[in-house]
Amino acid sequence: MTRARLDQLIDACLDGDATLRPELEAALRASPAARQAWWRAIQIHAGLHGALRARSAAVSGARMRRASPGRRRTAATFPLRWVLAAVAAVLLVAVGLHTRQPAAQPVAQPAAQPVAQPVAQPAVQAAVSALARITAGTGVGRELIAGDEVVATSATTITFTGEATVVRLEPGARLRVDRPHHIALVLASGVMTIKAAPQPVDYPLRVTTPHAELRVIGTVFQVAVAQATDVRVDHGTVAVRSAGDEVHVSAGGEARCCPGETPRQGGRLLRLFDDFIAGSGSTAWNNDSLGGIERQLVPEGFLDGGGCRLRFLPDRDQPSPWAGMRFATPQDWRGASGISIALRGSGKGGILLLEILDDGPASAPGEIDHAERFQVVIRDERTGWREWRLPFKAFQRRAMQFPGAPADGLTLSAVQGLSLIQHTGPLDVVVDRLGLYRE
Amino acid sequence: MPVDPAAEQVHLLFLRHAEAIRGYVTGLAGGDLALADDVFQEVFLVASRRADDFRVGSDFSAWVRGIARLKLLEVLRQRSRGTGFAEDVLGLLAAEAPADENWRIHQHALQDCLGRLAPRARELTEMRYVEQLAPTAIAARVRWTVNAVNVALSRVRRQLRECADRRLAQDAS
Repeated sequence: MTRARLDQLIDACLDGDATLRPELEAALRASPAARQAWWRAIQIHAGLHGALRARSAAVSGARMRRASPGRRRTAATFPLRWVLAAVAAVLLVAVGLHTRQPAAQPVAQPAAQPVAQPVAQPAVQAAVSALARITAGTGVGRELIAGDEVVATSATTITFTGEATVVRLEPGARLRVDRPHHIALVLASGVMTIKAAPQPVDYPLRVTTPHAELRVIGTVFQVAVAQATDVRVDHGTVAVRSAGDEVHVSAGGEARCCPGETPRQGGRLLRLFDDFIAGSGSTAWNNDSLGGIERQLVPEGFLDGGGCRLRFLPDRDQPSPWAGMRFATPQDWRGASGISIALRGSGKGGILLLEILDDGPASAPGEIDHAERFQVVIRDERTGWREWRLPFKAFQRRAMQFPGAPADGLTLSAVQGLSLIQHTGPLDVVVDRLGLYRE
Repeated sequence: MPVDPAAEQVHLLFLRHAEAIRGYVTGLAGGDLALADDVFQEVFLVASRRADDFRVGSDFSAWVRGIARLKLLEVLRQRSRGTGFAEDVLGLLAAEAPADENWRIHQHALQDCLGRLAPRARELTEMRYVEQLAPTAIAARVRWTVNAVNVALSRVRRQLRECADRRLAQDAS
């Protein structure tokens, strides 16, 4: 066979023409030189695919804007779009921790050792345009191209070129960004929050983790999470696939993917006491200790633009300060499975108690209550955000009870309020999305 | 994170070798880029699950290539007959695939050569490799015949191959 004929066969195969494949196979089978020519052609073919993938950011962004101009506007409008677009998805993907948590003693995720600043794939860096840019945190200002890896040593925000998709990495997260024809994220470890802008149906954003895959249903997203992976969805719907099975998780829901197992759908937020949106104020905390507690709304929340910083400043008069909520009327929590709270810790090892004021004789807010008290322990052992799910069965009756409190167990039929109480150690945390969930 | 240090190590190595693994899979997949992308992701999942099988200090590339070949065969068997190369050809190709370092060096050379493409050639290349359009779709868009598109793509690849070869020869001298 001539070299020209071999090149013709190889080119036909690379461009999807299967009719000449038998002849090519025969050549490859017979000749080491043909196999060498094949690999040289593949190095160009695959190399072009890899090197040009980053350009798809701008190409795809322009295509998406042409395809649906009403939805995809300039980046300047994206905050409004996030609010309005029902299809936008906000995901929390946590890889690494996947033990079932004994809820009374939640085990914090061990932080990964940050091993590097963003690592560029050297092969294609200069010739391609930026896929995304780090807009806060580790390596701020750095442009990312397809194949780049980011290891976050602090809370890190990545904004994608030509659209409004934003990724936030918690310290220790390791992420590879790619864009063959869709945004493709490979989360090797750590916690990642994604605010995904609407994307074309045929170019969904995908996330792959060691144990699962995710994509947004409708106009947006796909994400994959595995073994030690939690997926929580705030807006939109996300398909979660592992071990050959797929579930759809909609707003407020969550799924867990363990090694070799199909996805398990978890609890759904039933009620949100407060998500602490900056600027809207917080009416939730109305029963704080008289001293030793400072509250401040901060712009960086768990999944949105607001959280509530709590600084516990114990002193001789108030050795265990608290931030508390008393409900105007007792609430029936019997339809819920537990309390959900997002917490950004300081990692200093302090212990926080979450206390439920269950049923008891009525008393007005501001007066001493006579509720039966139950508690669960939260250890502040890591920095960065984590969402805790604290099932009611993990709560224990507190030793400290006011006179007149009933002793009928955790009935949840007429809950009067809840508190976050400093138990030990320095505590400076930010809380968000405090509510009830149901399995 | 992750809790498992073996998985941590494998993830790190996988990221370092990603382009070579992807190229290897593309070659065995008969140049089918979409199939290669799918298999590549599957290989990552399998390698993560089997991280405990990998011995630190041994040849990661050989280990992950073994996984990739088996995964590709599995995927091809699930698809319709006639997809991909015959298994004996796959075996021959797998045994003679370029080493990871070779991929890296070649990518450097290709990077330089890409900037020298004529605008029209670049446009066609991006349609084929970024948008992953088939030659028939490209032909419809640019109003050429399919044969003309095929010839143009072949020329681009040959031009880049020759350019890369020159670059590598210069670097070697």
